[in-house]
Amino acid sequence: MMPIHRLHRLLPLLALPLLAGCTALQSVSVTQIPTDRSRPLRAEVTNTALLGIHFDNDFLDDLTPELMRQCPHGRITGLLTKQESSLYVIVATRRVIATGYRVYDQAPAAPAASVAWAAPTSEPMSAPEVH
Amino acid sequence: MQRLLRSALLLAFSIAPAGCATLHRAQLDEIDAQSGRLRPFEIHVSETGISTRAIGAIASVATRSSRPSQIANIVALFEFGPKTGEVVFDDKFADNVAEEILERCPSARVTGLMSLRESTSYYAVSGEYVTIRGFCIVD
Repeated sequence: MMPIHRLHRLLPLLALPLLAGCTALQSVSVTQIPTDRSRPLRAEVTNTALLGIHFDNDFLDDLTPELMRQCPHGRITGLLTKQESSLYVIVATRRVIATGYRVYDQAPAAPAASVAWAAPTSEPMSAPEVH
Repeated sequence: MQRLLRSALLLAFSIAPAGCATLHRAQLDEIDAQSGRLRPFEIHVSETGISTRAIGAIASVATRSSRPSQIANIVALFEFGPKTGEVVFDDKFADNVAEEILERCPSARVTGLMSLRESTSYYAVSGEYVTIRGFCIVD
């Protein structure tokens, strides 16, 4: 059995891996920020591999559909796209995070007769289906 | 011992065709789903990259001499600097992506552009890719 005072000396050594910086930011991009920022959205895709050996980048395929699922009939803008990677001893994780805002643009001004018929609504304008 | 070496070589050659994929940069543009029907498209341009150090290492093993590796290290000094992936012979391989987008979307109404810079390494050579995905706004 190891004496307690020796164990105390070992503790800092055991804690060292926890202090190791293991995250890297690889790229950041941002698009125009809207004035109406009341509807934020976020999507994230990750890919983990042993020893950081990845055979493809297909994990990104889900990012755009995930954003469009959250905003099927509007416009997504103010998009901050962040690509980072983290290393956990022998496992590496790649992560792409996109945050932005849903914006529903005002419809073009309608003729006066149509305006009289239009019911007041706060819902977004209906848009054609996305294929 | 020979059997072990053969197995290791077989394993190495079976993994090599898969390559090691790297994502250097991902950029996403705004997505407009309210201006019309969206038709997806993808543009993929590529160029072959060369790893001077890896070629030197292979040549050193083949010739059982350290000289090719030393020469490769000197050549690699001229490739020093910030870069994504391996060096290529044509730096204009991605210049025509904008024209290709216009070919796919003649109306030039494009949204949801995702620009990717990727590479796949096969030890001494690599595939250097630029991929653009997006949507044409039709109607």
